[in-house]
Amino acid sequence: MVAPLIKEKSGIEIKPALYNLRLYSEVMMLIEDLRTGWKEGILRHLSTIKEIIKIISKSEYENALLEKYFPVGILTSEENLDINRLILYLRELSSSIEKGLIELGEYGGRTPTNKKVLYTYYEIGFIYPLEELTKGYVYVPGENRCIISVPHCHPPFHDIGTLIIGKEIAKSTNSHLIYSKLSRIYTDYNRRYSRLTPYRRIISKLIREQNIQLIIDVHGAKKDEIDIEIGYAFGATASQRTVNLLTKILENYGLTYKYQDVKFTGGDIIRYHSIVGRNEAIQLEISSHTRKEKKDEVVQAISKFIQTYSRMVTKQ
Amino acid sequence: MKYKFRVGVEEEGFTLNRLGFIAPYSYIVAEDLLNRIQKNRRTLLKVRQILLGIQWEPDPSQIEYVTHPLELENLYKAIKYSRALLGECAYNHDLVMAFISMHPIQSMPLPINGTHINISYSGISEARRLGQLNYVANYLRNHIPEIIAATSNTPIYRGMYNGYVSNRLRLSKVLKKSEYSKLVIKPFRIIPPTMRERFRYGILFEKIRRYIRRIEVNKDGDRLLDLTVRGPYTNIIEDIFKSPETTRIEVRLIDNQLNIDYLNDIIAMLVGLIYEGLENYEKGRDLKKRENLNILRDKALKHGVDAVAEDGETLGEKIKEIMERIEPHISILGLKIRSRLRDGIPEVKINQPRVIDTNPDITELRIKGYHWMEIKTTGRRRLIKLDGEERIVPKGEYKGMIVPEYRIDFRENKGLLRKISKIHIKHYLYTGDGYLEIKSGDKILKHLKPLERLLEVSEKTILKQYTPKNQ
Repeated sequence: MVAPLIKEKSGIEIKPALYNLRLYSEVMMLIEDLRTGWKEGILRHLSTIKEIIKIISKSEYENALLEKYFPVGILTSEENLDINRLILYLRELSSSIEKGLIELGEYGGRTPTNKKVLYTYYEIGFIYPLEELTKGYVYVPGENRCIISVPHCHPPFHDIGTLIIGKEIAKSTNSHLIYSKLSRIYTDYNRRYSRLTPYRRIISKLIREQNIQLIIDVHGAKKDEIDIEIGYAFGATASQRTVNLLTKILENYGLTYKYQDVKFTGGDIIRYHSIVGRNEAIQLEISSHTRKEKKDEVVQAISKFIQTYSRMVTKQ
Repeated sequence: MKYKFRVGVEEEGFTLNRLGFIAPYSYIVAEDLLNRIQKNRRTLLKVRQILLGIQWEPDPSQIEYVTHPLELENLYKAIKYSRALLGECAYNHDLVMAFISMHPIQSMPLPINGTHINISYSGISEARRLGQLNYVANYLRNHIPEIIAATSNTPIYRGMYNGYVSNRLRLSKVLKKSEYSKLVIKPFRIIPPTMRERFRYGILFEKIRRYIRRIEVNKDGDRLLDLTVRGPYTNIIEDIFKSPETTRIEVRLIDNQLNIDYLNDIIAMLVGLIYEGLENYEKGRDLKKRENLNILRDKALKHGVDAVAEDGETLGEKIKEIMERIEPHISILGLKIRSRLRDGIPEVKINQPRVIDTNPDITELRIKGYHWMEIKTTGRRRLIKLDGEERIVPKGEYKGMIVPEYRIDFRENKGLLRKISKIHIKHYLYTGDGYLEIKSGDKILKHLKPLERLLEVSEKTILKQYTPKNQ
């Protein structure tokens, strides 16, 4: 289904996705001017952004497209921010537009779902009592700027063996570890509707406060054709360079992998919590056979990757 | 018996978790069923007698059972057995099978379920004559408003009663309105681009003498209609190689009924109307196109039995008349009316949950996209932090994102949903520090859409430092 058209004052119809691009470029220019402190530019871009938002707000579809990865941080912030904090939020916004557009590209420029599905992720709230959700995860702090997330490790319908892998990687790399204590039959933390659950909010909080640079989301796949399927949403959540580093290390440990034509391109955890240029996120789908037979190799390879990545980022 | 009928039922259902929310594990139910029939030959034999198959649907929480075309006297038991069987399979895995059309909270509007009823008939005279089938299909089409009023059963959308009795029909993108069917002469078929994977040809020429006359309900040959005629003598491409013996009318506009008695009576109503149509045709009675049918259709999916027809009668009264009229025919055919549809009262009138929303005004705004709110609490409130720690915060004004929390009270029996009795909605305000409990009576001071809030924050921050005056 092709995105509906918005009629401009001039009478020319423009595809709404283009407004996202316009907003994106204006936000980027605003960030640049805020950094340099060029008043005229700042005020001009702000006024243009205001106009674009007015147009976008009128189109339900476009609004929903833009809000798909809209950062919650902006909605819970105070009004009077300092400029640096504002830049941070604007950067998150531009990143969220990028992700929305990349996702649109995955479906050949068409909407992935029924056009009438105009709800945003805020729509569905908690489908499990909040008091229980706060007990529905375990957070083990680390010192490395990396988060290991294991969202599907609690029975029933869990990915057997992912928790132990996640724990061992976190232990050997001193990374932050977050894992679920709730079955995905009740709440799947790797879905859009879970973005406001404590599990997901902790990840956002860590990214902001601990300056997290890498998120590894550990999952289990049923198929045994290859050891690990790497999901990075076609480059939306991690750079090709990072993926190349990972694949090289996997090869060194004798593990087979796939990152193109994969079934699992990346769930909501990596898609939502990665911010281009600030932190990257990768999803690992480890096959059931590998979790049983090659657990140690996986732990060593991923630990090595995290250590190499951390060194690489620190050098930069 | 003048006419013989066979009816096939396709019914889609959801797999729910034990809290009543959608769980995407229909494959577990199918796997369990497979294990059962592999281990128990008696079950296998019984299942294959009743069911044509189990079918996947687009959403992993959906599963559909499809019965064979069954004789009417066996139909009620077959539906009951099929539902119970899937329910038991779900029960073994702590799931609940729900034969409902829309989840009252999570269908937005997808995933959507429906009930499709296929009615075939054979009789002593002219059973295969296209004119007869065309007449009957149009006779049934003239009753679409009454059928909708009798079957609409999705009044709750996104946790709210929004004034429509069938949100499924209102929101379905797939289901199209049926046109008045007509007989056309075309010895060729144009294959639509969507079907070209299955048919290599763009245009298919056919033998001139066979099936030249064709029933067209939709000029594009679309089968996903409110009601349509199926078979090789139609322009539906999927049916091109079907047996010419078929006299099948498919009704897809029906919302699922939780109570099997209601489903039984809807089938009885459809069969009865077809019976009437056949008799009228034999008697040579003219059939007139019902005026304003589509207007009345739209009224029916909004107001249901309370919609007023062209003659001033409500659709409820009309359903009552129909049921009275058809009862003699259907009792001969081995069907009996079991529900209050006899009195023109559909399931939507008696079997709906109570929505208990602590702040309906918040829900209304949230659904419109206002997720940021400033709220004035009328008393001390709990603030729940991410780690579960709670503290009491004083009465005051708080800002943040509004988050609903849902609870569903329902009754089930051996894995089969019987009734949803209550839906509870309460709200929290996520402030960044934690989740602030919102109670009834708390006042909304301000509400913004996410983009508007972004603009507000940006403007305040920027203008504080770079006012246009300072330029």
